[in-house]
Amino acid sequence: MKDLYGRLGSRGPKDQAPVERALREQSGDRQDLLDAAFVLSDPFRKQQYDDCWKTLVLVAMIRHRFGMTQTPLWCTQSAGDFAVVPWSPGLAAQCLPFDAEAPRLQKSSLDGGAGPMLPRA
Amino acid sequence: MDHTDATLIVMLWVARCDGPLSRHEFVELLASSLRASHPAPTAARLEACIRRMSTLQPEELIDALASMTLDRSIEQRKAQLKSAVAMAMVDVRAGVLSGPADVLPTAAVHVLRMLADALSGGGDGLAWLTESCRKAGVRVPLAGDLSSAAWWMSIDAPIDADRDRMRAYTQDEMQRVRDLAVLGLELDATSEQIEQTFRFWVRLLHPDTLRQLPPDIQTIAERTYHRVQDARRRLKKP
Repeated sequence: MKDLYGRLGSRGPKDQAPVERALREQSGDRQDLLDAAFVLSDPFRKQQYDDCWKTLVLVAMIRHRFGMTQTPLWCTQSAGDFAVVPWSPGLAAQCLPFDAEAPRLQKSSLDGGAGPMLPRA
Repeated sequence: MDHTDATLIVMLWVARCDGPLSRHEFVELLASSLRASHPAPTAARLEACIRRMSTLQPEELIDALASMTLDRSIEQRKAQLKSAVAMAMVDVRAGVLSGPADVLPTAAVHVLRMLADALSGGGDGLAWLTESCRKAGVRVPLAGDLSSAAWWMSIDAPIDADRDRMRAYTQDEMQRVRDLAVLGLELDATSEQIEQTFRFWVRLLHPDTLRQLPPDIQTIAERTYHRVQDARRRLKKP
C-alpha cells in the first residue's frame, strides 16, 4: 500500500491542504494523483484508507523505535512506503486508538516506585 | 530489556482494537496479564507502573512499555500469537458483512505480519497461520491495496452485487451467511466442510489448549470459541 499522504507532501489525514493543492495543481506523479483523487475524495474509501494508514504508520514507528527496520518481511512487501517512519509523538497521537487525552505525568513516575503522580509543569 | 515482548503487547492491543478501546480496558488487560505471568512482587511493582500509565500520553505509554522486562518464554509468546491470530480472524470475519470482505482485514493483516515478524524475525508465525488455514480449507483474508484506484475498481462491482443479493435474503438465510462467515466458509459449504472447519477452530481455541495464557486472553478466546460453537450449532439445524 502506498503512502498517498507522504507522496503528496502531507503529514497525514488531518493535513489535507497539501493533498488538495497537489490535486488542484496536478503536481506530482500522475499515477499517485489518480489514486489519491479516487481514494481520498470518496468518504468510504478515505475512511478505510485512513484506518489502514494509521495502523501502518503506528507499526512502522514502533519498528523504527525498536530498530526493526531491516527485517525483510516488512520492508520488501507491500508496505514499502512505511518501511522507515521515524518516531514522532504528534503522529503517534494521531494514530493510536485511545478514546480521550489524559493529563501528562512526570516521567519519573514510570519507574514502578512509589513516586507521586504529578502533572507536568 | 525485551523489546519484542513490549512490541507484542502493543500489537496485540492494536490487533484487538477495531474500534475505540478505553484506557481502562487496556490497563486491566495488561495488569491481569502481568499477574498471571510474573512472581507476585514483580507483578505488583509492574502493575503499579501500568496503573500510572493509564494517565499517560500515548508516546509516553509506548516508552514505558518498551522499558519493561517481561519474562515470557518463546513458547508462551507463540501460544499467545496463535490465539491472538485465531481470535482476530474470527472477529474480522464476523465483521465482514458490515463492509467489503477484502477491505476490513487489510489493517489486521499488516498487524499480523508485524506480529509474525516480531515473534520470529522471519515469517514463521504468519506461515504457520497460512498453512494451518489452507489445510483446514479456511479462506485467509488477503491485504487489499487500499491506495490503488485500480484495486478499488476491481472490488466495487462485486460488493454492489453482494449487497443486492443480501437484500433478497430472509432473516434465516442471513443468519446462515453470518454463521458461515464466522467459520470462514462460503455460502455453498457442505456439512462435511462445516464439521472439518469447526474441528480446526476447536483445536485452536478450546479452553483446555489455552491454559498457559493469561486469564484475560483465555476469557477472550473462550468467548470466540463459544461464538464458533453457536455458529456450528445453528448450521447443523435442518
